[in-house]
Amino acid sequence: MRKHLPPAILILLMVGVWELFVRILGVPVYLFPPPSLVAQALWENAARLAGHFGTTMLESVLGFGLGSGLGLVLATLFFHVRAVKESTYPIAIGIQSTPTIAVAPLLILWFGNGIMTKVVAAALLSFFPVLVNCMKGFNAVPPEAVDLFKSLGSGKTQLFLKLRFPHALPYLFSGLKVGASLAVVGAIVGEFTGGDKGLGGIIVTSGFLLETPTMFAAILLASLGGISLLGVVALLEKRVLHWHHARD
Amino acid sequence: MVIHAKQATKAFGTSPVFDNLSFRIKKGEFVSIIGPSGCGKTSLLRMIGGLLPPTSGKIDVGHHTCGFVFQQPVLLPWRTIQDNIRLPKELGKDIQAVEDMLSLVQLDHVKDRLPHQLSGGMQQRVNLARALITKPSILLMDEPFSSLDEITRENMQDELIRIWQASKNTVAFVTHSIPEAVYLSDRVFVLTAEGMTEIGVPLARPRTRKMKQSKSFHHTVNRLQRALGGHHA
Repeated sequence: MRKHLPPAILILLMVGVWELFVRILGVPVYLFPPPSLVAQALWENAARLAGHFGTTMLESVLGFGLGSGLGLVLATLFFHVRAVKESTYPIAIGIQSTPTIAVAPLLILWFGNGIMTKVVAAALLSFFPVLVNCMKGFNAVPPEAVDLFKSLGSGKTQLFLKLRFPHALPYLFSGLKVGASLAVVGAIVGEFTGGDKGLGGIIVTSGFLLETPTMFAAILLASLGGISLLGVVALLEKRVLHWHHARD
Repeated sequence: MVIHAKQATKAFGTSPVFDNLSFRIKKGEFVSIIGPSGCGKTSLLRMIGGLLPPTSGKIDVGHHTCGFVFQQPVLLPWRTIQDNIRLPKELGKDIQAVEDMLSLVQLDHVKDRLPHQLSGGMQQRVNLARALITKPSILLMDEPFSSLDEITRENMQDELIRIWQASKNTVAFVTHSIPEAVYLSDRVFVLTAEGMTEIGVPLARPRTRKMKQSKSFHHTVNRLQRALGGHHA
């Protein structure tokens, strides 16, 4: 708990300075609302914002599941079938290098204005870190451990399930943590492009209406969403990798 | 005869690691393989164990089974000590009782711990127990004590001799240390770029630490040093 104290104090201090700064200088609310007004907007729109928060989180979680599942399956396939890796990996890098915001309108054409587009955008962003980290993990197994398994007559499947996969778990979780944060980014990018649902939709419409306090509230919730998803993965990591953490 | 090498040759690319090796190792013998780095000691061990095919010639172990003890303990960090020792069973090997192995290497009290909670010497004993649990007739050991401190190392040497005498397997033991090779072995194979020579150890069994002060111990150490020539072991 002690390590959380300094950042908490700093944040409180910043919020205070922000409030004072905006009020003393008389900055227009539509440009930079004071924290008190953001809190008020959060309070007054609580029900509506909660619904949109739920939408964004649902899209993020589904997209994250889809993306990381795909990353894991592809990594396994790439590891075992060299031809698939050599042919497909450049395409994966290509997809990764294309800004998601640039393909978002295309996703809308393909998947419509509903939840699917956002899920796909979230998946597109979260699959790559999982893929890359998994492959790194599969390859990081010490050669002596492979020798051990071979000397005990292990087949390929056992070698993978009992050695490579568990060995790659710390790497997988690093990828999952990056992927979890990126999934929320993907969902919101999807929401920017189409529809008025989700936190991304709120951010866009409140921008049009100059309802800046509501916009700030939505941004705050988006950040909260990213942090919670990351937190859930980190918690899971701590449980699954108790043997790994204990070593540090 | 347990291990029989017939003109075994290993080359990586065009450069031969060793050429035309022929030797025999009898049942129950303890043989050390010593030589400078890069002379192919580890490759030879892997070839005996069937992990590496020879470029030409062959190493015949008949129907005998091999157990490996590696330089690093190679324990799976997510498994407890007893689950590490049990691994061969999950890979389809017949094994002895895990409890017997734990008491053989004197690790009963830590069976539920994770590898990182054990000292280097203890981890190496787990490595040994995991190899012994399959009841291999040949034990292949690749510098298993090289990363241990001197005191632990001496204790492990005595422990190995005790276990070897109880289990009666054949041991091929790769080492960098001349005194270790002499203390443990019946015969020592000296592997250099020029080929292989073999030197017998005229010490009685069972070995005791006092023998390390004896004339014949030092005499054998000197013979080995000469056989290694200018090569640093």
